Amino acid sequence: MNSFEVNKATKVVITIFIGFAFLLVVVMVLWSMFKAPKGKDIILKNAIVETFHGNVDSIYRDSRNHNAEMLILSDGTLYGVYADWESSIDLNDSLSKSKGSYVIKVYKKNGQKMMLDYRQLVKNWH
Amino acid sequence: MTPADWVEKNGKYISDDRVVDQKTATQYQGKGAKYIGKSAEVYSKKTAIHGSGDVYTDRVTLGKDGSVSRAVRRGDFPNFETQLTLDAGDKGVINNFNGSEFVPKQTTGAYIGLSAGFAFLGGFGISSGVVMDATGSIKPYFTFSGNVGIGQGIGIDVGSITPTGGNQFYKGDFSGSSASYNIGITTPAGGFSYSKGGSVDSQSPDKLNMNSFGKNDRGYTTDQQSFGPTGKASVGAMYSYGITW
Repeated sequence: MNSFEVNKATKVVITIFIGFAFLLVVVMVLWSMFKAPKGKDIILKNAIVETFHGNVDSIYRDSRNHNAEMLILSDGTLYGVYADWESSIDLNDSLSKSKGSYVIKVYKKNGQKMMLDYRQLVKNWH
Repeated sequence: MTPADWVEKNGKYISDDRVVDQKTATQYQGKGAKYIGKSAEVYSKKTAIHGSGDVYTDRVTLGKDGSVSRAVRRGDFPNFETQLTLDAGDKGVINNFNGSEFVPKQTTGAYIGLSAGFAFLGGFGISSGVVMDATGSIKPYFTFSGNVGIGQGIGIDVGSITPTGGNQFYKGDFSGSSASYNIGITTPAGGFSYSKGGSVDSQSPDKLNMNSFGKNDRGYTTDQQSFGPTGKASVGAMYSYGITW
């Protein structure tokens, strides 16, 4: 095997490798655009299986996770609140979310009842 | 949109959803910040030096909806004439006769920084700069990311940040996991790349899906342009997943 043949083979391998890496990203982008689940569907898919029932024992912000408002419920659930719902939930409120439903029922301390609907939440998202 | 509360600092009036009283005004906008309220009217006067010598009264109205409106009254005229109104989200600033600045409520942010990275199927990158939030507050950031694809380069990044919900983007929201798709080109005249990304839930199995960007608690999407040095003609494409501090 002379040096010319080795160089040519190496070039071909590198070219194929570069082409593969480039195409891999292009395919991922096209998959996102045309085949992958839409963002709102991802949220609703996750929401439908959520279940928790309890009082809001603690509220804190997770500085390592985009400052998300986190709730610790009396049933042990750790729940991240979407920004549009932050002003709707307070300490000692009671939350109820059943599997198969898109709605979180919020029972306020003053007896008021609120419904937070995931379908409504994602409706106006960018 | 959440009702806006107004804060004044160093002659600049801004709207901050977190602020509800003087204590929270100082907490979020720093020492010297003054709580204004959910709405207000700010008056200033100016006397014409030449001609009539009339006194002009300037009234800036800060609305509950985050809007800012300026009206002026001449001398003893009974009515104010509206000069300019900026609604929430509009870009621009209104100044009054005292030189104070009034910014309508904003929800978006922006960042600028330097970055370097590569991918040869796999690779990594770093970037650092400053991020500015919807209230004009800034903070430094540092990002470390893992890359998949092909390409390499250094550059100056300029990006805009759009929160997914109706909330304001705050500088602390920038910290956490994020992902992006980047495509770039290098030419003998200079390098340019475009990147579309956003925050992601670090536990989510959908991080490769562009549609999941920004769909987390306090999530946001980013649009970024990068400008790099000249070089041999080449193109690159990368997916990046990173952590920002």
